[in-house]
Amino acid sequence: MVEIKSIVKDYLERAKSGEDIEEIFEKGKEEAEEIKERFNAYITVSEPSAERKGKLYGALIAVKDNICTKGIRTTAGSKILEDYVPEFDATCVERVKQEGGAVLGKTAMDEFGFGTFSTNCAFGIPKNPLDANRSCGGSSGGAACAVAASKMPVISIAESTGGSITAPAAFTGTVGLTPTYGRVSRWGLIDYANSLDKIGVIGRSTYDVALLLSVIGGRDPKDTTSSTEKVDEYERLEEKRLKVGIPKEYFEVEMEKGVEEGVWNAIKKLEREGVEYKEISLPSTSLAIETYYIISMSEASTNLAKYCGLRYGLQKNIEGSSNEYFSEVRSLGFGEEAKRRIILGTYMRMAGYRGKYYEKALRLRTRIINEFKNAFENVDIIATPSMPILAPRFEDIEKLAPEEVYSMDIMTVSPNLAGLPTLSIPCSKSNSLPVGIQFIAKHFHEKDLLDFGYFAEGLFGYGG
Amino acid sequence: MESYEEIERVAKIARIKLSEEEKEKFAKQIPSILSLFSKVSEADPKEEASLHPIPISGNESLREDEPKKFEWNPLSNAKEKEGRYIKGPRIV
Repeated sequence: MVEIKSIVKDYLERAKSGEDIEEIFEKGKEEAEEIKERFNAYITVSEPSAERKGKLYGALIAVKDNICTKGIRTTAGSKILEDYVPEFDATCVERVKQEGGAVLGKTAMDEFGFGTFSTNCAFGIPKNPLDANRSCGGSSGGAACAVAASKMPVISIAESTGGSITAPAAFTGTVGLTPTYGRVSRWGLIDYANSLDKIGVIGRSTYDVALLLSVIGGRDPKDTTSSTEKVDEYERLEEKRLKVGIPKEYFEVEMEKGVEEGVWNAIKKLEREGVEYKEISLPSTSLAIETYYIISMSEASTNLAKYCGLRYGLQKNIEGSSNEYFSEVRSLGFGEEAKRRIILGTYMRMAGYRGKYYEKALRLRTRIINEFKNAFENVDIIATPSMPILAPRFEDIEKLAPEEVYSMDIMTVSPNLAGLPTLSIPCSKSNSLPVGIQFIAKHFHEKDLLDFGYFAEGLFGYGG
Repeated sequence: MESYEEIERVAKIARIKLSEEEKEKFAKQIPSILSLFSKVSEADPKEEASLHPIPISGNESLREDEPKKFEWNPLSNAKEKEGRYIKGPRIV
């Protein structure tokens, strides 16, 4: 077992014992500017500051750019919000500030969350710090890059709709926590799909992500989908050996050899340390991609209707009728993937087609949720690879057709559809590239998930 | 949405103006994507539809009916303004 040292914990202790916080902020900002220059991790680097002390005093928090920060430009990775400056903080940012955390900057992302490789970012594509010719993953690519490239106490607030925390965590060798749907308030999050969006965390260790979750989680009257379930002191980690289920369908998927070997070696390591595992079945895995994309594109097409060149965002000289003006601004402001998803989502909700696509997908979602419920009668944690591939090269991504990109989300879409909490931790390396293992737990069982992850992390020995 | 014309029609409904290049590209890609998505229809699921992944609770009582003022200006990012109004295109 390896003790994963948390740089964040170290800095929190140093700040508490009186070390000059301004020096930490200055060094943090300087490093963030460098990481922006070298890797495009940030769209905006801000001036870190803390007005009070608390659990996060001494930590630097990078925020995915679809989460509103007062006075700091927030673009959601899109040209259509290129100069939008919110006059309010999202609830999760407010809570960070209340606990003395300092906002370091806004991280690069696929436009509105539309992507698996952060290649749809209008402000520069984030590059993997482990190999700059490779993707950081998406859509929270910048959030993962900001953590992976840093030697300072940085933790990122990120967001997942279909796997946008797990993919970048896996590709950059960091820890990605996607909480239960409703665990963290979405107030101040720029919506992609309201029944799927979850704010989460990316850090270098389970301690870092557990700490930040304990601060941002909890009921918020401004978000009526946020849960009243109690928030634990997740950062009080204890090693837990829980019963694991391995869904056979996830290993029947085509995946890179390095990933399959890496994940199985990790499972065997867990077994040698006394963790029981058994094979389970999640038959609707074969329809998960379609179910996810139909629901998310349908919801996205309604959410993006608000961007029309009035009140905020890209605005042009007002000419022509409202339809002409709206079409002009939207066509200029949205990237190709956004346009594709809006058109598909609009079509699948239309009368005459809704029954064939959208309504069927909603029914399949219920089936997927029930399959997980049944599986969790016999196991506490479900383990799968985080992604079917290692971090891909940009030149290879360019050759993929849209549906080939969508199919890369096969490991993450089901738990995301079911709103289950997931944790991706690095478990192995293949050709010097990190391999991520994904652990899935029952709704609101983040404590079990993190404790099991903490135990596994010590066993695998990556991170810190 | 198999044809160029159908894509144009849906784009108009969504208030998106596509270039000729985009229309041609989408005319190739979209039928292929929809063919993949049709698998959900073939499965013919009989379960009830789920709009949310978990039941939403905690909203059983309404808040007090007290008027609240915005703490911030919702029109701060609007560029075309006149007094308290934002300027927009003609409706007709």
